[in-house]
Amino acid sequence: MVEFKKIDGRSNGYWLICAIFFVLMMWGFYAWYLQLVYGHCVTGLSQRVPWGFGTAAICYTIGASAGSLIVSALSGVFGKTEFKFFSRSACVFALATIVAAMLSIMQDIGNPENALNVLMHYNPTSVFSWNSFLYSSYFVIGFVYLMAQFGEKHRITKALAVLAVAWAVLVHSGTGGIVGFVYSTDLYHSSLTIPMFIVSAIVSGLGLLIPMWLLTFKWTNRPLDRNLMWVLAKIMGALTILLLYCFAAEALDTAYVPGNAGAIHMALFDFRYPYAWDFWVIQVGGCLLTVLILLTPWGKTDWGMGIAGFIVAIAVYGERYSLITPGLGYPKDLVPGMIFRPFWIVPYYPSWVEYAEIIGLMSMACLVYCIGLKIFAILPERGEVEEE
Amino acid sequence: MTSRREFLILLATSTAAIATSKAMQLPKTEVDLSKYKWAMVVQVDKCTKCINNILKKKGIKFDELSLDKQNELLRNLRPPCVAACDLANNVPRMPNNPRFDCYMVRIIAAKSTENAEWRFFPLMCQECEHPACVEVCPTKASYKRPDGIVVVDLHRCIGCRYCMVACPYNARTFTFMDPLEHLEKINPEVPIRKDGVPMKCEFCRWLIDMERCEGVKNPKPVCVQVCPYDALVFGNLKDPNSEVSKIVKTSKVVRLRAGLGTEPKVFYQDL
Amino acid sequence: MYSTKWVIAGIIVFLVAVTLPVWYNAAMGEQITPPKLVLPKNKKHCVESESYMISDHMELLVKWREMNVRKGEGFYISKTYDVPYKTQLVQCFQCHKSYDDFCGRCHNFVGVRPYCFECHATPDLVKQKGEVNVTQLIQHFHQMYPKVNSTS
Ligand code: SF4
Ligand code: SF4
Ligand code: SF4
Repeated sequence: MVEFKKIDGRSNGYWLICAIFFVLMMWGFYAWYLQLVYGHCVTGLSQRVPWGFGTAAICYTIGASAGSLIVSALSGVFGKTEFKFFSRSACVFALATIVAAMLSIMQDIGNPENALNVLMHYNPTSVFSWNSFLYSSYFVIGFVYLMAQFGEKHRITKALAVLAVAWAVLVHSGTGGIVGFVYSTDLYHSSLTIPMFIVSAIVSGLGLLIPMWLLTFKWTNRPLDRNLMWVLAKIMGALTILLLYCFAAEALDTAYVPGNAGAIHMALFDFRYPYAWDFWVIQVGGCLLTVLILLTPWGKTDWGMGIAGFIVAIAVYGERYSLITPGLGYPKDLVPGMIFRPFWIVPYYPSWVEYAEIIGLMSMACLVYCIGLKIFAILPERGEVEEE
Repeated sequence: MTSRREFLILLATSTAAIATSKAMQLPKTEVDLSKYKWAMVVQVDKCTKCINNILKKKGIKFDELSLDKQNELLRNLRPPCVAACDLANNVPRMPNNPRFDCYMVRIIAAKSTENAEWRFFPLMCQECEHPACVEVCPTKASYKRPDGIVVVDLHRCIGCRYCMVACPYNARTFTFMDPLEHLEKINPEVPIRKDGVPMKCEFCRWLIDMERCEGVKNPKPVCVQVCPYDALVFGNLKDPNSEVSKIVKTSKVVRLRAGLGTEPKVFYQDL
Repeated sequence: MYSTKWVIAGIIVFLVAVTLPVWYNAAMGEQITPPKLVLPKNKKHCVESESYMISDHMELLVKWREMNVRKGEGFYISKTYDVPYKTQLVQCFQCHKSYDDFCGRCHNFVGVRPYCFECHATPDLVKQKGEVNVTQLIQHFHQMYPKVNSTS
């Protein structure tokens, strides 16, 4: 049996961490307030690139949530009892990030007072509409799953774990479909987008959870089995390699069409625009660095695993960004087969408001996790496998 | 569902009508939209002549400009169709701000090979038969009417900009800030819109709807009416005798990005 | 039960706070006067009967909105007077020439801010900015850019 216990949460360090997250969160909300007052002109968006950092934030937070829930359900689905000790905390984090995702949708849309229309007027052909149902049901399923864990109801927990994994995959496939099904630009419309979203969801979920666990166990002075963490880090590394493979496949597939030459050249090799930098430095570079760190002996230490997780979490954000923006930054082929004007590439640089919004929301998720540790029995007393 | 109060009103009026034995004389207002399928033909030859004249008056040789200058010139070009549309539809133009500049119609230059001569034509929302924007809109705020016009119902729109991303023709623009500051004059029949909603050409829906309901035979959008060259032809595709039907039947017309299957209802003649 | 005292005191405070306006009105008597509206001259009636317009004008406007934007019906036929009206807000402003002198008086009095006028221009705003009239606009363009005979 794994014993779960609340943390004390009275030390100065605990309050300091909560205060930092709170301040960051308020910074994000202040940025949102500015955006509500002045309109979307405070962001870096433009008529040609109407989706940017904010939309990447939606995909990212949903992905992190789905990934965490999948990790949380590992023990239930595969019957691996040694992973059970962290299933509660991962589930709490998943719920906190899905709330952050909903809020980031609210931040991104231009007319939030009409937001409930998404639930009232269902459009069966819109992927976004499917998602409005998937997201809300996802939250309910995750919540019930968490409750079942608190109640120590093993059969129900197991059934719910299977359902939760299925639903998390479904939810994030829907999110991938929002981008992947759009056929108006050369760089969108790839069937690889959806599986890639799932893989990067698990990667980013693990990437955020591993440093978080390492820090919480260290700061609460509870023992943590490093071998278990290493197993997770290995899963993360393997999936990161898979992700790199997907990048290569997708880029080659797009580049093979002669008509896409201009677009792919801008997205990958034109360093005058931010897109190529993001692709090579953050997305591919981050993933490669993670894999390299995990291959060295240093990767087995706490620092190694934590830093690798952190880097890959940012790399996945870069991936979301480069899925969304370069396709819009390159002009759409308005008059096919002809040279046409106006024809200009729009470089998209996010403004501080957009950074503040996503940082604020992630801080909010972390704050919820910290407070959750204090008032619910989420963390096990010992993060180790019991010898029987 | 009629409310109780409306029912009472109805009851009162019908008794009054019976009492005075006066038959209800309803003005004839046309409401059956499915009889129409509005479409437009752009005669590119005439537009090219028109724009070349404007450029000649300004003393500009389009071919000799750099790419940036060409872009800027086209963005700020205001032939009658564009100028009238901006005024009639409350379009907040921002000539100095390409990032947030809103438009409904814009002028495109195209040529098939490097040595060919530039052809100019206006590009507006193509009123697709299978519109990508309607497909993706999560609230059915964008929807296609039975007469083929794709309408954005701003009362419902959440401003997610999914339609802008999905539209293959960049036909939509978004109000990134309060549009009021950028309007010189206001046409009260058209909303001035707020910040955070998309806008697009709707074939001057407010105008042709009114005229149709008033019984006008061939209602026309503003750009069609003001064009000095009569380069734009507007009409009902379901009426075999309308001018558009005849042109579409007999001349060489193309639709932009036909490969996507959106089936635009704006045709380009001699492109 | 512990702290019964506090709970009861809290309930009393809450009840007093909620019913405060009633007491206030009772104490002050009929001091609050309803707003006076500027009514259009030479007009016999509104779209429907007066009482209906006072209580349900918003429902009528929502109905017009559905008719105009979603169904393409340009005219609404008055059930009381059997007269057609355009299903647009400009129809209202043809008689009520100002928002501030008519609609705004009541709305400000009861403290509602209809969101219609975030997107629709009030006559006051149109007057301030200058009005575009479509017929005049088209005539103006015809004068400025006379038709070119395309055959020549
Ligand atoms: S539609 Fe008429 S006014 Fe507009 S560019 Fe063509 S010819 Fe000129
Ligand atoms: S051109 Fe674009 S905005 Fe217009 S109907 Fe087609 S997809 Fe929609
Ligand atoms: S911005 Fe409005 S019209 Fe466009 S897809 Fe979103 S809700 Fe629909």
